[in-house]
Amino acid sequence: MAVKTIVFPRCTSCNRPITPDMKAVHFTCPNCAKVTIWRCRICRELARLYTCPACGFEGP
Amino acid sequence: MEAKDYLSPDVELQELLVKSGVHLGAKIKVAHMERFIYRMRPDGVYLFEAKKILERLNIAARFMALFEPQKILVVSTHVYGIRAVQRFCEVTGCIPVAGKIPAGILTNRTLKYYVEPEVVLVSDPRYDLQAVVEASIARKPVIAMCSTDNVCDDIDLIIPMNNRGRTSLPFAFWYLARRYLIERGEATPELLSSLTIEQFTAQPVPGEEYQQII
Repeated sequence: MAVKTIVFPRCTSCNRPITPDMKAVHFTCPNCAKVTIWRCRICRELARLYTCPACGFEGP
Repeated sequence: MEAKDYLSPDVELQELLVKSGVHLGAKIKVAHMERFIYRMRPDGVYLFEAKKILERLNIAARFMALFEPQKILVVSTHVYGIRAVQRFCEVTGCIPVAGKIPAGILTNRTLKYYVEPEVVLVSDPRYDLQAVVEASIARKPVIAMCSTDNVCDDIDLIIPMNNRGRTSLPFAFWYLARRYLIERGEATPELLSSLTIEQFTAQPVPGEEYQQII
């Protein structure tokens, strides 16, 4: 019997897996628009910095 | 005879930005906004760096250009931002919310005025808190114009600038509209030349003071 695994997206700031019930948000990088950036609820509330892995843009 | 040195467009734009007072902050500094602050004036007012403001406005316009105009919600409750938002949305075709934000606009599907945008632009996260909270519930990214004393929770892209000025908010929306049209490829030289900052500025209604006195 094949075992299916689910890969959750990870928060760009804290690298924690984001489960579907979290109030996370995702958007393409505002600077280069190549990478999808995920931000979990806690990182958004604390205004933690995120860095685009492709272009190095630092937000918010 | 020496050739006259003309200013580059960037320098002219920065001068216009400084004239409009977009670089002025408040007397209070918040840790979230510390990295955008250039220096403090002797009277205690913090100042932003003009280059950083233009860079962030460009990035915001580039980000907004990824979405269709019907999928962008532009919100301003501030007195000086109402006319600017209305004109911005006339030019670009975005959804305006100028004035009071109706509750449930992003969360209550049963309402007539329910909209489902993909990105939300607010002029001040403190005045437009309703829109920021609803966007976080609806999981939409938020772009916000923030001064030095704004707390930046639930915001995904900050535009550091003076968001309480009579001339600064119209300048920001005028510049954003121009850059958005250029990034979308919808700009024509006639259209760009017809856009002026005065169109985005709130005009005083004649006789308004007289009516208030009565």
